[in-house]
Amino acid sequence: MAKEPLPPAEAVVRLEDVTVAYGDRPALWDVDLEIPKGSLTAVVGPNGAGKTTLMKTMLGLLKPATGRIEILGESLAHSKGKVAFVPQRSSVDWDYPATVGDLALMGTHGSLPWWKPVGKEEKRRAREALEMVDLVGLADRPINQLSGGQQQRAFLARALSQDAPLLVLDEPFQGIDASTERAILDLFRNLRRMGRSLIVVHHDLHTVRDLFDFSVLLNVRVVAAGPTESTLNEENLRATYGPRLGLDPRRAPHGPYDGARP
Amino acid sequence: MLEIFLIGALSAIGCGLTGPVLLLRRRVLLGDAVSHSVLAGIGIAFWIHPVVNSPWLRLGAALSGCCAAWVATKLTGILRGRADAALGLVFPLFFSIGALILAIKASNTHLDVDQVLSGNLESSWLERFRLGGTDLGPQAAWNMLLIVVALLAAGWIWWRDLQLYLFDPQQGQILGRPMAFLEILVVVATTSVIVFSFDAMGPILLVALLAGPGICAWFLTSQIGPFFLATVAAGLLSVLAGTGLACALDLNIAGSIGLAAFLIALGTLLMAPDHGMVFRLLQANRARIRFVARLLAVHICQHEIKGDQASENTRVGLRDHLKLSEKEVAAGALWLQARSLAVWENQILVSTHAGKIFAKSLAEGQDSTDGQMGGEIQRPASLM
Repeated sequence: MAKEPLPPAEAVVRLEDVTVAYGDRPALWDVDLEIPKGSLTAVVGPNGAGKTTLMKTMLGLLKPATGRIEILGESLAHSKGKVAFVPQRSSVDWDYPATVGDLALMGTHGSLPWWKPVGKEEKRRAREALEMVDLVGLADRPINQLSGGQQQRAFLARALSQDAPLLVLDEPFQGIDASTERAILDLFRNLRRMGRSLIVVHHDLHTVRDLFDFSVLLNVRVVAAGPTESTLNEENLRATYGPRLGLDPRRAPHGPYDGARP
Repeated sequence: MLEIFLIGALSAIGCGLTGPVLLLRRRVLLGDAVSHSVLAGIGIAFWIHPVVNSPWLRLGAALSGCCAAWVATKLTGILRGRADAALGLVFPLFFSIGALILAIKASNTHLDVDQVLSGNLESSWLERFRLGGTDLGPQAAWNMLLIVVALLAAGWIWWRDLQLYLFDPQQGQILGRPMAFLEILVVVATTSVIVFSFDAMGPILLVALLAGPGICAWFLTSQIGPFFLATVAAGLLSVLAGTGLACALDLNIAGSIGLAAFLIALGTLLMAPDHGMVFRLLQANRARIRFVARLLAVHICQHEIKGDQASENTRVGLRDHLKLSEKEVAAGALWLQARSLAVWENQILVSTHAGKIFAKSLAEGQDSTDGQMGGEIQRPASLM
């Protein structure tokens, strides 16, 4: 366990002794984790490491067997709506009858009692979200006519209109082209500048160092968590992925991750 | 007659308000399964309290419908999402329980399986709703009205939650909305509509009114509010056309409505603007002609530069060298002519000045995709 000392900043998420199990098989084992506020965090780990479980636990979709979770200092039960989620695109049926604007508005659905119609404030939030992902021009387009990259941005807009201080994203760069990826990254950096925190489940180890300032290496336990610069070293990666990582040409075509970028 | 239409129309509205939910959750056949499964409840209720037309029968039907839906949902989970297999297992079970009990216990009353299956809209108005001796119309209409009002109220209260539930229930859960409750609500609402329109409509017609109008909406709109409205409208139209048809030709009303619902759905599927099949065919044809026209524009310019246009840019030359049909050459040339990009001169297609600029812009990878030659193409011409 190579744990870096955490920065003194306030934590956006704090997990203490969290264990999550499916039946008697633990998917997350005794996780202690603090992710600093305003960070752009990558969660990496091999398949079956519990990345999705960690994400779902932070979103309140899974109940941990033990431990406690705090979002911005409050327990998870009191944090409804404070965590926004961008799922993988394939998790929904895009033939659902809605426009991009409708989708963006869905992020505000949690904040209104039923007797109040959608008001100016909600429309403003949805519009701002669309502006941030550069989809204002497509607000009236049915969502079944979107390209993959546009779908991803529309999903982002829905999460943004929720106005949550923490965004959790499940592999947002999967299956989108380089220009959309750049646009989304710029958006992430803007959001961080605005004081929001982002936690991203990420598969591509090569880009972690470029994109994220905080990293969580997960393999059922937290192997290491800290600033990417000091956390993402060969030793920690071997501890996470097993000793064969450095030898696997598919995973590491540029050699070990122990210093300067290739 | 008017009363029969009223009962049918109210049932259509009830189905129109629940159909989209089933359609968007890919569970239309749940309606079918529930409508057959109610027979178990009818059978058991009749066993306990053997009186035809008692409210106990309806209650039993509702309970067994909900129960079947719940068992099917659980079983779908156990079968890892194979909803069709789960329904296939559950609904014959419930149906056969009902059929067996009725065969044993009700063989000498007029409560028979045939009637349960096909429904009987013609006689549905016979049972009256009386208050203090005054006849206030058919009981079935009042029942359905109550259901419709309840559905509208529920739809109004949970409108935004319903959208979350239909599109992405996980998102609804994250936002702290009551998704599990909505799941139950949907089953209860579906079962209520089925149970209360069941004796008038029968399960077959019910499925027609749950699926057909929803399919119309699918092709007509891409927003959820209009989706519900279109479904209700198409359902009402089906009932109106079906009742009319039945009157004109003296047919079974339920069957006619089912047929009308199918025809209306088919018509929409073919003729709907934007998504209908006819529109798509026309669109594909237009796209082909635009493509051919571009092919021609570039080709004739190239041969004009080479100087062999006399042999290449004829109808036959274009047809053979570009592997097009004569019709396509003619249509493509017409497209170019209409935009003053090319003209036929002595059986040779000759590009105009604008046509040369158009071909050049195409070769450079610029294209005005709307098919209108706008300022983009013309601008360099005026600069020269």
